[in-house]
Amino acid sequence: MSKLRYIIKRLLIAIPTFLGITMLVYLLASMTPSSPLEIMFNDPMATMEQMEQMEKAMGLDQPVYIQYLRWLKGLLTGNLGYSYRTSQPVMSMVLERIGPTLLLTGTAMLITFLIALPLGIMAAYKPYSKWDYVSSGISFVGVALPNFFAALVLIYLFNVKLKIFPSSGMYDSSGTRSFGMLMHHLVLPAVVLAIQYIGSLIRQCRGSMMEVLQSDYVRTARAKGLLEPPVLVGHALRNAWIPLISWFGMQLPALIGGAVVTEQIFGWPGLGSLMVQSINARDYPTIMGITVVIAVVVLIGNLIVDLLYNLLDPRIRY
Amino acid sequence: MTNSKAAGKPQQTAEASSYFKDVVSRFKKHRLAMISLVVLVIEVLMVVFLPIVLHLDPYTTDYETYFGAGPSSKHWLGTDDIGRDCFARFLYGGRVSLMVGILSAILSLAIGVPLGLLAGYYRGWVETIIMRLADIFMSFPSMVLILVLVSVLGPSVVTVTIVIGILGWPRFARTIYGNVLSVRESEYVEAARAIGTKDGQIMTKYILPNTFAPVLIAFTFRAAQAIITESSLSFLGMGVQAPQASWGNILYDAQSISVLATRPWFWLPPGIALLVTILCINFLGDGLRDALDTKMVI
Repeated sequence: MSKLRYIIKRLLIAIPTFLGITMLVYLLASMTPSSPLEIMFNDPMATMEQMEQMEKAMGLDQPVYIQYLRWLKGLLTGNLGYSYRTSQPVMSMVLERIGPTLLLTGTAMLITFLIALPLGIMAAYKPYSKWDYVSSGISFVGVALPNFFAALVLIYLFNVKLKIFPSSGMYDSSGTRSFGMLMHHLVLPAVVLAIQYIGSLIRQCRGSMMEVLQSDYVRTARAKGLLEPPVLVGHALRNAWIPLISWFGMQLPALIGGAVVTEQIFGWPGLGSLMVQSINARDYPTIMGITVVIAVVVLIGNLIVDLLYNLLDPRIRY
Repeated sequence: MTNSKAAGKPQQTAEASSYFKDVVSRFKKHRLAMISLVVLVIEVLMVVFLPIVLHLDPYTTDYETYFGAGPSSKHWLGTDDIGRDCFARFLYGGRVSLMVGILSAILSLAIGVPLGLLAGYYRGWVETIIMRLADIFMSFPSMVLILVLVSVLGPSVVTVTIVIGILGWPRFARTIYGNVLSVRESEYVEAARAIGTKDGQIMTKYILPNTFAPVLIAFTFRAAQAIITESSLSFLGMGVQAPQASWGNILYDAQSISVLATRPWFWLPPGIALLVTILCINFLGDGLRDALDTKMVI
């Protein structure tokens, strides 16, 4: 019951955040020097009267806050308006793109945890050993490597030189679509997106494991003769998880931001590449739509993190 | 009153200088940080003076060499698609990248520090507004906001610096806020308040100096982050615009698969330079953290 109340409370707190962000982006979008009509109609034959009629029909003659309220009203009924660029409904364009972005970011996070956890645990288990220096080295480089440069290097090595992995899109141009092909295309972008988080998670994991390994219950577990692997996984990692989960929550916004660059390089048809296309075309309804979806995704992600917290550490009460 | 002040002064400077000496000696022991500092100094000297010394020109086409040429004694890193010297562009790009990073971090600091100070000192509704606002900014991907802002203002070195600078404030505000919360409860602040010192004076003379260390460390990490952000933007074509060079927008040209495949000398140097710069700044930050020995909130 208290958990449900906590969720409802969190959702209520999220409303002003959501309104703040959409208002900010709407206001910014309305400040653009060129009017949406000029963007939509590249028609030199259009007369002033036609333009004015169109302006009225789209409600662009109204003040900004009225336009924003109308946009908000549309949002509640699932209508995000129409793209200036493609004239399609923004809602369906954006919904189409969520899947690929979640697939990419989810896989990147999976890779991150699979690589960084063992490295971090090893480093904490034998601090200042060879292992520790290797994983610290990986961690420092990972954090410092800009992901677009990592992308160029990996494309150069694995696409141009070795010809193992494709460098663009979700499927090749043959028209057939299979799961294997999707995975094959997913490898490079997911690894590129993961690199920086691997670096940062190794550090987090090392720190939090070191702390836990010095605790009394780990000493007790060892004292009663438990083997090292169960101590590490069962006792230490279980408790070291908690800061790692909150690390994940803090990385969420940056993860989506990083996906913008990665998707653009690899032609991955997700929200990020749609964002870049829309910004280049000054397609503000679509930009607003993407903003909304990203805000919602981050919100849900944070909510899941909070619930995981509670699941992993029953001492945390709301 | 004047007497005690004069008596207190020499002792204070002695203490201050020994603290400073401690910091320097601790920093010198941090080998990676020392190496990083040297590398960064050399790098800055190179991008500032080398173009002047070697009379390099990053904008003019050389019609005597074919376009997209490989490294030669005349053009150390070859020429680009329109015959400009790549080494010159690499150095000028470094100037821009480092400058945008540092200036935008200064801007973030200039906005974030006063806001965090006010929030931590006054608490109440000031705290609520400022820190909630920081939460909002930090819970949303800043890359998305930066892209929107840059597209509205029009991409250029100036707008990119301003936009990255403005959106970097929450980290500074949080860092300083956390420190102010603990410092404001200390006895010397209470004493200052008791003798009727004005709020503004307490904040600037008693609290601000105590937050110097965490702010300096936050500054190094912010500068590294800003350099990455600028180069990402330029890489997407939304940052520094041609003909001006930055490390990010040199790499923009390497998105074409033929450049990528056939001319590694063109795109590897700016990428490696970015990696080395960020790596060194991060080591420097770590070294400072150890040397300044603060129980910091970042």
